[in-house]
Amino acid sequence: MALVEIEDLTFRYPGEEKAALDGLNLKVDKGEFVLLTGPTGCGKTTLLRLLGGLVPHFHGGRIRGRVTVAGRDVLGSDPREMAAAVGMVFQDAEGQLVSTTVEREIAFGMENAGLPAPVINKRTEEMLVGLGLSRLRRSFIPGLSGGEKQKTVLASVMAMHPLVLALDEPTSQLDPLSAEELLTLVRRLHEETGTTVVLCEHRLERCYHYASRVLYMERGRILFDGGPREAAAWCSRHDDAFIPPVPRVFARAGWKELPLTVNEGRALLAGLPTRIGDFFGGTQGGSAPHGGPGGISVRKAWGGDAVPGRGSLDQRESSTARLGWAALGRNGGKKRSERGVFGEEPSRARGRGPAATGPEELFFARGLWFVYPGGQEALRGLDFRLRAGSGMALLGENGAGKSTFLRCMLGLLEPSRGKVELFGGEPSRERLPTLATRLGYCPQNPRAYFVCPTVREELLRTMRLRGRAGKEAEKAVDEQMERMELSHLARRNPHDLSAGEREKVMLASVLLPPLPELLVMDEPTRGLDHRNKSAVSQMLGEYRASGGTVLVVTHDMEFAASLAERAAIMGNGGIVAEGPAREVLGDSLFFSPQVNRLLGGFGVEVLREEEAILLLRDAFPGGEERRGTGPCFPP
Amino acid sequence: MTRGRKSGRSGKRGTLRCLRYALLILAAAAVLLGVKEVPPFDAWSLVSLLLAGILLAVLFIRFEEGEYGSREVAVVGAMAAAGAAGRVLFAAIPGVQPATFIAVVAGYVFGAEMGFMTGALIALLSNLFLGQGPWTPWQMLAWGGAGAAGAITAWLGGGKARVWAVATVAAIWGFVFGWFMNLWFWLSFVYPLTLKTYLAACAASLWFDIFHAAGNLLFAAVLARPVIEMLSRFRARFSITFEVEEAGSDDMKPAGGGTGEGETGMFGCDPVDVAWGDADSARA
Amino acid sequence: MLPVYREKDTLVHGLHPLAALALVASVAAAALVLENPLYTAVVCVGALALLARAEALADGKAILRAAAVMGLLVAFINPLVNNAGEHVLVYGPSIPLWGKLDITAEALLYGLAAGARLFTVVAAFCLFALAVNPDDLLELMSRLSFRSSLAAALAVRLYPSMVVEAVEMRDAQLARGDPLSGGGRLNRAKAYLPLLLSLFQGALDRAASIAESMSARGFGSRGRTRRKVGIFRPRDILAALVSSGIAAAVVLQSLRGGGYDFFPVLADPLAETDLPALGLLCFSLVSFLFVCGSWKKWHWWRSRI
Repeated sequence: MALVEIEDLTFRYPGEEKAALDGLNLKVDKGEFVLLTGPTGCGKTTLLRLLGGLVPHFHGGRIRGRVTVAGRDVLGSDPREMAAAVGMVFQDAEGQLVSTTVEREIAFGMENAGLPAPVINKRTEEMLVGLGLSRLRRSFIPGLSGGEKQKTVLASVMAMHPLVLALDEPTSQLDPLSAEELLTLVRRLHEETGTTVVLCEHRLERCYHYASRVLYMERGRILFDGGPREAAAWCSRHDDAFIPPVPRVFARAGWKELPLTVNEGRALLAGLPTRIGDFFGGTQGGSAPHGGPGGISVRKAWGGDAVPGRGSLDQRESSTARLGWAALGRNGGKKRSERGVFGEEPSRARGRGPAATGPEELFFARGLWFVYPGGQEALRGLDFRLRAGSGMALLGENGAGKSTFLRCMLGLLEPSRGKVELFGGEPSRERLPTLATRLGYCPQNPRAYFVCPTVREELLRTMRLRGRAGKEAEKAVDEQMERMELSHLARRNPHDLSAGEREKVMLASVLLPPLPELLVMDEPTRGLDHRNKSAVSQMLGEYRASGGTVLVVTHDMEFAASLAERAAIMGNGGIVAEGPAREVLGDSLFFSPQVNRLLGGFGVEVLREEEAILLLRDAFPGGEERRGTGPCFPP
Repeated sequence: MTRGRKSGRSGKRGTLRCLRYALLILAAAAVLLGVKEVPPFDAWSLVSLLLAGILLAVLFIRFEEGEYGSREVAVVGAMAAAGAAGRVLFAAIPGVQPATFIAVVAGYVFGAEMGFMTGALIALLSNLFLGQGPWTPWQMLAWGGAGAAGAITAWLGGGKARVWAVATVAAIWGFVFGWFMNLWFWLSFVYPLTLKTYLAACAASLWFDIFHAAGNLLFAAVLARPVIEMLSRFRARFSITFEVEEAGSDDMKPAGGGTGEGETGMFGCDPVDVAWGDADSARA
Repeated sequence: MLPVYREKDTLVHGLHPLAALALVASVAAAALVLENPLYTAVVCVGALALLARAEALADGKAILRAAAVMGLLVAFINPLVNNAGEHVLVYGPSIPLWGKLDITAEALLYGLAAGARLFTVVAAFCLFALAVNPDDLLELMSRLSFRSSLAAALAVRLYPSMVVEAVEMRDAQLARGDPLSGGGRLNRAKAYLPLLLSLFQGALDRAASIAESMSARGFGSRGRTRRKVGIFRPRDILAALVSSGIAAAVVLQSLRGGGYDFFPVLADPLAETDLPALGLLCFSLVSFLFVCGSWKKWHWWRSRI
């Protein structure tokens, strides 16, 4: 008998007609590591809840079918008794922790389960040591970092010695480093304790190859169930947003053999002759204006629509970036029309002066210091400038001072020393609201942005605050929602949306006419899966193409590379590196995108998946027989 | 989720009840002691503080007996946190803060006990950061009372959401809160304890109370309806049930636990059935 | 800076919460009950010295300053509402329905003494807030009432993130173009109302997910147990002895020496004092302060208690 058995299970949430799980069958054996993939709303979370008995006991609804975990019928038993058998970790640690200290949190579950005090104390100790939390034993939980909080949740759940550990996108709110740490921890727990793991995760690159099984779900059904290699092959045909980047680029380049990890990919490529040298040697495409070495030049060569005045943004040449992308681009074939989406606003023109006079500086900070009342120096003599029309990614570790810098930039904090200028004036709390038509700001926490009961009212509020009301405003809002394919959300409460929808709605609101000149975004891709990330990236690309300036604070290197032609890394209260994105991001050992590490051995800095696909397609002639026939480009 | 609540609890319940009576007797004794000794031995300040503490203990223990589930406990904690954090939003506007309103609405929707807890916790929590003092138990009682008043309003109104009723109670409580806190102040630090001096203390705080009441009125007038709706939606999930649809199979009976242990080694390696996966893949 | 608990290496911080509670309660009771200015002075100095020994003076400065202002307010209001006392300093006008508005020396002194008592009580509570870990206290409370203390713990845990959210919300709305202001207090308050609603929404969403997580970890099961915490050390017994010493002094003074009269004329503070009680009070306080000080210096002593 399998550890988990689900037979013909159909479940509807209360008041819903649509089945969240639709005739689902699943068996999981002891010791398996099951990875659940699928688009948002496919029933992954519901399936995990079902394992823990939260569906239907906690959420209610209508259910049909049979579920047993460890031989016990989930529907018939008290969910409180199931708690010890199935440990659940959810997305946001913030919404799971109930105690004030780590120690107490770990004991919480065990106390509920009625374990004797000596056992509780022993296991608490075990978990603290095992998960590396002993230093934080008595720490106040709100003071912990996101990664530490999620580890505490994991410890609290594991302390109950569950048979099944069910994790629902446990890293979605974490930065890459903490996410990696947590997933490594889960793997270690699986290896060392033999606990069955059912994991739902969008950072696939960390766990895909490790999983013993990968499930792909859609509309409440399991469409695929098999080993990771087969799953990658199947998904690459079905929907390649749900496989890790390495197999995805190989699949898109038309390869039949899909390596799952960077190492596998490198091993595969190492045995092949390569023409990469040719691409970087002399074939400078005549049409490629090799001015901007960042992502933007690639796009230009690809799509061929150069934005006037952009090429002069950065006169510096990057040694690695003089790629003959135009030569590669010949197979790209697809023209990306990137303009005309927002139309041209008269107010925008001044943002793009002629190249001769140099672009206008929208923002600069000189010798910026900020010291918190506690004496902590968050910014130490920071210098930064942002020119009109540029796309800038600001990277850096948590606590490097990024948020403080943003707050100084917007005028929410008053600098201790130094000079800051935004749109030609000193930013201040009083001035900030008057800049609403020129500056769009997307906070890290979308909750902070939304104050209205429906999406449509939220967008109307933006129009009202920008001084537009009445029929004209309503028309603009409706058009915007249509354009961004959000019309179906018009009546929904923004707080009830998924992370991806929320981000899109926020962007739609910020990008309402009159289109702001500068868009400041704080970690826009947090919690988004690959597909939503691409959507956001595309929306921003369109905004950039219409002449907008973007400053984005992010941990996501791939997103940064796809969006910005310049990047800055913050550390120790200052900017430690600033320059063309390719230079700054390319030589990072730890955080460069997987595709960079895949092709890094060939002496080329590849940051974007599109570039990797082109290289894999054209620079490896030996790979012909490993490739399929038809082009596999995504629609 | 009401299963299995009878057995095993009675023992604990009995202890709690005994404890409650013990506390009540203690309270009565304290009152008597205070009254008897009034003029030379002025223990009123201490006695009143003790009384407030005892009353709080009794009410907190009542909450324990209520057998509230995870949703109830979580919502009380979260509302209290929101109420205390709301004070930060309005910190720049003296006298106007949403704590009273939140307590009233929480009581209105969730009943007296949860309302009282919410109000009391708002006081405890905001003082944790603004400064605890001998006033803490009194504030806890006063804001807890606002929760209870909200519950009484709902009871009188027959459960219909009446904005004006909530607004009236919230506004009145703005004054009651002030007068109650004055009572503490007057008992502890004013001589002589006459009606006149008490009224003087109230007059001194009148301006502050007016703003408090006006703020409450504003909060209730604008926010009462949406907040009550929000909380009612939440409350609807307190007693959630599920239905099992018949699917032909009769295996719906509980598998009768007890054999939970000893499952090791029993797992046959049933190969996982992937047939439907392939069938669907053909479609794609 | 707000006065919140911070872990420090002092004897008071190292006490069991119950012992600390007893200590603070006895000091507060002494300040509240004993009206004799002599006692008030002793207890006030004692409370401040305890704060200093707990290295909490700096953190508690803000609240102590507020308490001092409140104390002065008491001293100021009392003579206005109270015209008992023989020695009239200022003859005020006669107000209808109220009576004569005379300011007497006794009332003024009573006000000052009451203000000092208020200050002392606040100082005692301040010691409590700064030197007693609220977590330990909550854990202690959970033995008596698990659900209420869990709700309290949850509120304490959520508060900082709710405050962060409130601030983020305000900033985001400013950046959206809402100046969040208006003429007058109430208009200003009105501008913030949508934010408050959103804050509630966030709180309820959190409550829902926390409730789910609690259920997933078996909250509400029967036969809940508790982990073992809290160790009683000899120092806790010492603190208990000191608290009972203070309490005994209070009772002794009340029973044998009686209360203290400000009106109609000030009584002689010394004559109204029961000397053994005063001695006991001083001895208790001083010995504890001495233990606190020596504890830091002598390892031998420190390791024994």
